[in-house]
Amino acid sequence: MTGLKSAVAIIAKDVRLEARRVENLATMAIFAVLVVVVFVFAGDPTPEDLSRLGPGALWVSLLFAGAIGFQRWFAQEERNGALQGLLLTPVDRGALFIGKWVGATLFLLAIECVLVPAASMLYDLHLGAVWPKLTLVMVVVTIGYAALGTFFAAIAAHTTAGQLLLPVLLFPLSVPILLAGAGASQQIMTGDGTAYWDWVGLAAAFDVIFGTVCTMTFEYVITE
Amino acid sequence: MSRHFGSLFALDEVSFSMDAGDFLVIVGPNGAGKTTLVRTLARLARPSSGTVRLTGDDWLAAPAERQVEVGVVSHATFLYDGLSALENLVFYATLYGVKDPERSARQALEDAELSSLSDRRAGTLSRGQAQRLSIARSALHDPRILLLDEPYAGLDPHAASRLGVALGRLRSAGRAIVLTTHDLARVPAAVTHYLVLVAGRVADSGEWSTLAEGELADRYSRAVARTE
Repeated sequence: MTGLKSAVAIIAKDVRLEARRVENLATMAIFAVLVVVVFVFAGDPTPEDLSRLGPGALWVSLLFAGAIGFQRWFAQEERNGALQGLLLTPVDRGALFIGKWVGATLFLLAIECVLVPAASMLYDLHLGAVWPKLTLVMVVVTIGYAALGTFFAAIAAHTTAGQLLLPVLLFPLSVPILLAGAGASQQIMTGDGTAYWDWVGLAAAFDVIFGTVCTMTFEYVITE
Repeated sequence: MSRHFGSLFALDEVSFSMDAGDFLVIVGPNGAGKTTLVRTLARLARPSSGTVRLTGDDWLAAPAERQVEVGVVSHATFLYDGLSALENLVFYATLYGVKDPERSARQALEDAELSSLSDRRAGTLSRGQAQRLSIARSALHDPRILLLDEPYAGLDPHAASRLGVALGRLRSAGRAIVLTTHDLARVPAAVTHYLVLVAGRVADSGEWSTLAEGELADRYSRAVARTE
């Protein structure tokens, strides 16, 4: 069986499972929106402050929601030893990672579909003409963040302190891609697009580097 | 092979060989190393030293594609609670590269007398039903080697008897079978070889046909007593 077919089967399985407990995604989306709301109430910001803080708040909320999500999405592989069941199949370990990675990316993007409109209302961000550029940033950054999150969730799942370990591993290494996301978003919101493609390029480079490294080394983090 | 965790040896220089059509039962008390042995043979764990050879090749270094040669039943069912019985089998059949996953899955459900539960979520099945589904999953791809770690856990007498018959058929078809149990009363009739594992060591082994009635129980008791 080709790696692509295996990856597609894993993605389809994850989407089916998530669709059957849609309350999980809904709860994570609400959590992400609440983080954005908290920023609004912190420090009594002026409308100008809100506009400036908006992109950063958006990415911070996604950072937290993602950390919860990665843990949950990988936990289903731990229940009943399902991950071992996957390892017993002839599926290439890289394809296994790609399946989980794409699934996590799709789920994060689903959360963003709720988060971005909510943040734009709360922070008075005008997305009318800039949504294609913002969508590109969201997708590129989400791909990289999901790669790291999936990889570290697999490591954390094998440790007793997994729930604590995941953010400790994930957050520091996610800084470059979240900076790129915030930087590109800021460029869009302020209308100063001079460095937009630099930030997008940085995020895309992050995707390629970490996507490749995580895919190639996944086998070593999931086997004893 | 040996497998140790710090100074504790889960497997201590365990060595044996099997041919196609052999049915090896591994008996031993709790903590004897049976599960570790099966996990190592299944490549879910690596030995600290030693190796496993399959048809002359280094099995532990073989590519993942060769995993299709092995089917495993473990304490864990490897099932997704949120998927139905049928969906679980179709998913695994797809990953194993079975030609018509849905047809194979339905056939496996029928063989396991689980057709009426095909649409039930795995998470709602009883322990015994889930175990039967797990056994069906392990043989979906018609592996040449079956590794069964305490497969009778949760099975009622009827299901246990059917499993014994099914394993006999597989052995006759040339499949090699390794089955671990701590319950000597549940050793299937089709067994050809036995191995007594105590404290990670092979305490006794041989051909089943050389044993007199009840002799395995005596040998087992003596082997356990020697280590206490």
